[in-house]
Amino acid sequence: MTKLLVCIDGSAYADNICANAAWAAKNMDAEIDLLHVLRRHSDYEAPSSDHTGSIGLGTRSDLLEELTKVDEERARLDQEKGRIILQHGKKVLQDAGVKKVNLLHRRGSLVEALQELESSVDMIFIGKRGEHADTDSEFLGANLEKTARAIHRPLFIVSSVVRPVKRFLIAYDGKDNVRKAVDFIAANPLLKGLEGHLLTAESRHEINTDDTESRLKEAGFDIKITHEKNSHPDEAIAHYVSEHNIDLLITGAYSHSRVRSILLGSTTASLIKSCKVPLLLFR
Amino acid sequence: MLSLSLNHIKKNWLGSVRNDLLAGMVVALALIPEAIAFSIIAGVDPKVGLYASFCIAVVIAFVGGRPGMISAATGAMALVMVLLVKEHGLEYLLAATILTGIFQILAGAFKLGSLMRFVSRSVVTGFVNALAILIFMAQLPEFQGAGPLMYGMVAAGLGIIYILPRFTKAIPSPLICIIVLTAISMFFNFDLRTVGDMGELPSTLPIFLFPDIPLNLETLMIILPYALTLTAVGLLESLMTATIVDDLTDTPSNKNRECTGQGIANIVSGFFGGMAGCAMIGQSVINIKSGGRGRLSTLFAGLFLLFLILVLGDWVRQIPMAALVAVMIMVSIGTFSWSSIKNLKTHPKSSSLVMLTTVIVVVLTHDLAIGVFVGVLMSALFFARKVSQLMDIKSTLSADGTHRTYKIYGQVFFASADQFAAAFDFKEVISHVTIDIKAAHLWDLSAIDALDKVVLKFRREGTAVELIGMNEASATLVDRLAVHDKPDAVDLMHTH
Repeated sequence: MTKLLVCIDGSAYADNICANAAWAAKNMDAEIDLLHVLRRHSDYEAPSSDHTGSIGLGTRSDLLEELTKVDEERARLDQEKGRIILQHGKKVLQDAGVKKVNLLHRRGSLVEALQELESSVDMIFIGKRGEHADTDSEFLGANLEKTARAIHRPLFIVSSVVRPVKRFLIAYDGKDNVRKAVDFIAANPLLKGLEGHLLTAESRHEINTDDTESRLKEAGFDIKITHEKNSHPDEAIAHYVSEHNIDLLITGAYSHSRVRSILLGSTTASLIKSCKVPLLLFR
Repeated sequence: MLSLSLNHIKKNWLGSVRNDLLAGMVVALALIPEAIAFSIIAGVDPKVGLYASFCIAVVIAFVGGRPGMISAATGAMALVMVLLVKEHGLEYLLAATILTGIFQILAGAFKLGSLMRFVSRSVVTGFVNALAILIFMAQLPEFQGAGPLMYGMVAAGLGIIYILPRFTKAIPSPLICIIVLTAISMFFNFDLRTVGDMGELPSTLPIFLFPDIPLNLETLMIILPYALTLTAVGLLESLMTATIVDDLTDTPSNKNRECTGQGIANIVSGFFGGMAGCAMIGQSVINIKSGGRGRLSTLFAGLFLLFLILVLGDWVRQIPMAALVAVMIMVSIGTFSWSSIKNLKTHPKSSSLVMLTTVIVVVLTHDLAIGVFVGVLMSALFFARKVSQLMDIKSTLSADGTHRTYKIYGQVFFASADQFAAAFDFKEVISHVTIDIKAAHLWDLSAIDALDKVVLKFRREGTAVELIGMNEASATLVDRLAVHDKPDAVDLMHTH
């Protein structure tokens, strides 16, 4: 059975993530693994009030006891909070009509947890920013950067806007990653019956889209294809998205140069930042 | 990859900058008296220990395998080098330090860090206790011929160290102890020995120098035994300390990287006029207690130490030895595992014996490496003895009284082989014997030998022997080693 992995935390995105995931789960007839990852105690800053620098009888065992107690209290609160987040998420999903929701409560880093779990799922849902990231900031959540680099499943990046998906846009550069996206769209029931757009933006030569067009046509999609001459594909795509009321942007992780691709793909990163709609990313 | 290592750097170095800097300062303040005191133990100028502490702390911050652990000139290492310094002088110590570093790098390369798993908890406790006793004993000569003034000052110092934290936890009490005792001693013009009397203090940054020794076999033979002991002691204390920090912070460390890192740090120290060092249990605990977790705390401890020494050199000279002795007694008390005394009653006798033997051997030989070696050997013997008890033989006689079946359970090896051989009844007159070793493991030559003897002995009594249920482990061993299974023994063993 198709399975979606949905990552939530206490951020404002959690409900949006659930809403998007519920839509996808219904279209794909999928079950959902709802994941919340707790921080390790060592990720917190150490308590520091004792600068006496003296050690005496039993300092070592007392210190271990004390540090354990601090961690224990914090971890218990975190656990409780995590449970509430998961229960809430489950309720939102079930209210939206998802039949099967499994709760996964893990400890460690999100990326580690995803790497362990990704082989058993078909798509991963994550918010643009986590609860610890500043919502106003121009930067992406640190978790998203790391996840997008490490994960090889389709990654559904949820934004702060949530609305029914009617029109999708494939940002097409002809490379392998976006071809994967096309294969997925053609084979998967997720986007069946929706209005499809495809955009290429390249300054030097036009990208050939004939085979992709026929591929999607075969699958029953009537795709509106636009070729733009623009050296800043991210700007062109963002413009197209807002102009045509696109609800979902689909693309492969791509970039112009190898060095810049180390950082996720500069174009992709700036797309995630500038587009207000959810993004489905293929690697 | 690049950004992954960037992440790593961020976590290891910038995890908690404020805490690490504060903790580093506290550690640096505590390192000064220790580095001076350990130089005095080793019989070299205080600057040798101070340069070593600076170099080791700074280098290990980058190359060590355990973030948050403090390494510098240590008592354990100082104790090893006493004789070398006395007989051959400082230059040979520097050369031995560099050689130690080379050995430690090799140890890291050959992944000897994993050998630490053979050092049992009891040996570790024994090592730590012995170290504490040795540090304490090294302070005793300071009291020789000293008047009540010295005793009074040390007592006052200890009082400040242990009582002040009850009033404020914001300032390091050993530092206040040193400042107060120095002020009193200068004000009243006490006739006490000061740090300045003990030898030269650093006045410049450390300078790169090649040790001034003849490069020949004779030199190598002089420094080799010391370098080997220093290597062992340094790695032992470093890996033990790493384990302590692992436990306190509940985070993992890379033990083999730590071995290599200690080596690099010692080589740098040796070339910059410092003595060999290793990780420090007491200082690492102080660092963790002060909130230090990252590599930055170690780096800053080293840098701040050098800054203090260069800026405050004239004041450091005035510190009375009484203040240092008080700090060192604190270190010794803090290093000792006091719970181990309480545990003597409840822990298994063999474990307590291993711990006590380790302590006694170290205190008698002043050599931590020998103590640990004896401790490990004893734990191994005790373990072998315990496992040898995991063997049992049951026998049943058939209804007609002509056929006995021996069933062997458990571990047959050198420690249990005699017990194994003795369990068969050769006086019983019987025509058939079956030895069922399905549930047994034959571990070594002794076990095979014992089995051989049993089979041959039955045969000589005219009893036909059948061996069944060789499990795979035993079978391979028997294949390779046993006589009765070899082609030339086929005739002999025809009655199978």
